[in-house]
Amino acid sequence: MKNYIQLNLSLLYWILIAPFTGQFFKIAPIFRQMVFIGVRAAPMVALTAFSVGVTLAMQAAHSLQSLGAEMYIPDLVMLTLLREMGPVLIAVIVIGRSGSAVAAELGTMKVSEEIEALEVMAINPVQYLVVPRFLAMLVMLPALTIIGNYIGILGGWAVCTFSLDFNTAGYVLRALQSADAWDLYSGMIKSVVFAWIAITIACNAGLNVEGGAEGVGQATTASVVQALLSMLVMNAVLTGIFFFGA
Amino acid sequence: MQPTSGSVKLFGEEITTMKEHEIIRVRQRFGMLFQSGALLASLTVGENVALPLLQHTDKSVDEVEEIVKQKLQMVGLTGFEDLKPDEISGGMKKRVGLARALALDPELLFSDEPTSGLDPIMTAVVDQLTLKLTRGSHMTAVVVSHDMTSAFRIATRMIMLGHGNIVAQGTPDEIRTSSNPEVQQFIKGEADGPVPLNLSQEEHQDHRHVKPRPLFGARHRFHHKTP
Amino acid sequence: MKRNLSDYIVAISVILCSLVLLAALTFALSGYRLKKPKRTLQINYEDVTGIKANSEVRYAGAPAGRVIAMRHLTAKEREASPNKKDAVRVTISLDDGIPALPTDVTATLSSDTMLAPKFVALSAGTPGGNTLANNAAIEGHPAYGLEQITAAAGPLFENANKLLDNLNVTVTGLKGNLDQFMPKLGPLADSLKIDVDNLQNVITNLDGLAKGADSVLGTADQFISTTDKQLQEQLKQLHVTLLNLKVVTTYAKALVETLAEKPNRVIFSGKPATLTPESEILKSSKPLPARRP
Repeated sequence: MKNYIQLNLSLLYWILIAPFTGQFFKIAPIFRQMVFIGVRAAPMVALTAFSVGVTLAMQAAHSLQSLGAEMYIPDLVMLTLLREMGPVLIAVIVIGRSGSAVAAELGTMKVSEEIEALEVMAINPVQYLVVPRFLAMLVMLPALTIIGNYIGILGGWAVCTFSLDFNTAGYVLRALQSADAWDLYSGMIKSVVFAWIAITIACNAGLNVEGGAEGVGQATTASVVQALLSMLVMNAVLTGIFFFGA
Repeated sequence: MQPTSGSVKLFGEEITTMKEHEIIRVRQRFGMLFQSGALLASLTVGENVALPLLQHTDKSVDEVEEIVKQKLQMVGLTGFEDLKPDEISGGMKKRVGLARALALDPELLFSDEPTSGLDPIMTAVVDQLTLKLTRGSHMTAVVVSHDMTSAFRIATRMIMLGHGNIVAQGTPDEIRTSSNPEVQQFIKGEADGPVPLNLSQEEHQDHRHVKPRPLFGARHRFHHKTP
Repeated sequence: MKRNLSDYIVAISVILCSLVLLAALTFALSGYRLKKPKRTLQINYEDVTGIKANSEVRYAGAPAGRVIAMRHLTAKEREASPNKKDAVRVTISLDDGIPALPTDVTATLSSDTMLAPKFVALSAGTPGGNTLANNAAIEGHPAYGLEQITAAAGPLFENANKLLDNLNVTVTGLKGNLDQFMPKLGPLADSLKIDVDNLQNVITNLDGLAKGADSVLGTADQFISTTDKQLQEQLKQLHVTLLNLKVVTTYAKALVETLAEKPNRVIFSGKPATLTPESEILKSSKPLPARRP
């Protein structure tokens, strides 16, 4: 926990304060990490989002048909995706895929003395390794969430159009009418917070690996479990603040 | 890693009590060669050597590439720029590590076992390189080694460590003619002698802070707490 | 360096793509329109429950635009307004293809079914007269909910009750007369008496039915506060009651007419009347003559 807070503090130092003292972080590694963390996860995110959209629409159809309220299916798909399913499930995918990869990568670097080598070369591991991953995740997770939302809505549209006699315009209009901008923004804010949690926990686990290859494995597993749990708890907290607060 | 006691002075400055930004300045003045090479596996050989240059200098990409090529040529690895560290042998990794340690033209070079794992010819090449750097460009090298042939070839001053203390020190000639039986046993590489062999766990624990192997030269590792 | 370049391109294109999508969704959700709506209409309502930004607007039942804004009237505006009860001003945009609206257009709030979302329903109005100017303000009518049904059904029940009372008197009188006739008519009259008794039963039932409908309507207000499902159930019952009532009143009318004109036709069951079938009465929205011409 102490390590984790220290990591967050030095992360903030390197991002917010250090650039003004002339130690600007490099741009190229950020883009490399964006491709690695974000773009490569996009197909998985797309598949997840699509199946979630389809599932939501089918489940909603099942329940709402008995009330004769099929026209609320787009509302349900849209709101659920924007507020909850989009940010949460895409964060789950990204934690499972990219978070574990980052923890394993940093852990391996730690075990094979690469991080010590960086320190000896007067390169701060937080600045060189964590900052690009952090910024890349902070940008890419919300980006993936937006794309995922669209794909999920597309999934709902597929169910509504091909098996429920909706027309496309009707679906889109209902979907847009149901949500307002705050639903979208709250999802985006959640997504940014999840990105923060996911990447800092993964980096912290990686940087504090001890005990060789086995340690790397344990740290990776622990980072995924911790990140998922913290993310879900944080989701509950944020939902409470956004939708049950004053 | 903070030292439990004692002091470490480098370039006349006490570094154990230094702040993060001060120590960065000191670290840029020396290079360090790790026993395993400690190359960044995600970067190519060329990028590894270029890393300190890109981080600490304002040189253009072309200049950096030129320096990288020159440093790799120095350690006999011309044309290996685009390979990944796991595509080259252990000895090559060590030479890339040396090239990286030299990238910033440091005043001081720490080498941890620079010749272990290298064939005799390559050992000679690395030794010659060390000699060329120390005699030619006035760089100081602190080399930790078990390899007596190599040590006597390059050293101007030798220190033998054992039991956490200095066992003997002096010029190569003084060491070679030392009357200390431990030194003689180590130089000649004999199995029987006064140097204790710690074969069991208990004996290791008696010397918790003492590496069972004797070391030549000062071995400083500047660990700092990873934040 | 080449690898960096491709990283840049891929990452930036993904980010740009998501930014564009985000912007599109934001605009769509917050009701922002790139094109400013050319034609708008202000409607003042007493109550706009169920309407929000982006709600549909239908002109004569066909989609015609969207609700673009909604605000509360200030206290001053409310005092200045012709209808003091008006509290909310809804601004709607009208699509380009919609013809100029006649001034007698009414703007109600409506929905397809009980559960369906509300929309602003503009009635067709009568063509030929003056048309509303752009951004004109008109008076809106609240939703046709239960209250409106109750209000509309009220007179019907009053009539039905009167009718039933009259019918009761007529039939009771008829029964008295029959008692005098009976000995003379013998067995025929016996069967007739049974018929008239049955008729009286029918009328008593009718009375109960109408009272039941009255009580349903009387308590309907309470049900508004309960769940939609219960409300729907009550409305279903009310609907059935009203339909029954419609058939019954039509037939009762025929019976009364017959009794008034040719009572012997009821008593001696002469030529059977060709009554309008029940299904036709239910389908029709206007009162039908009970007997076919």
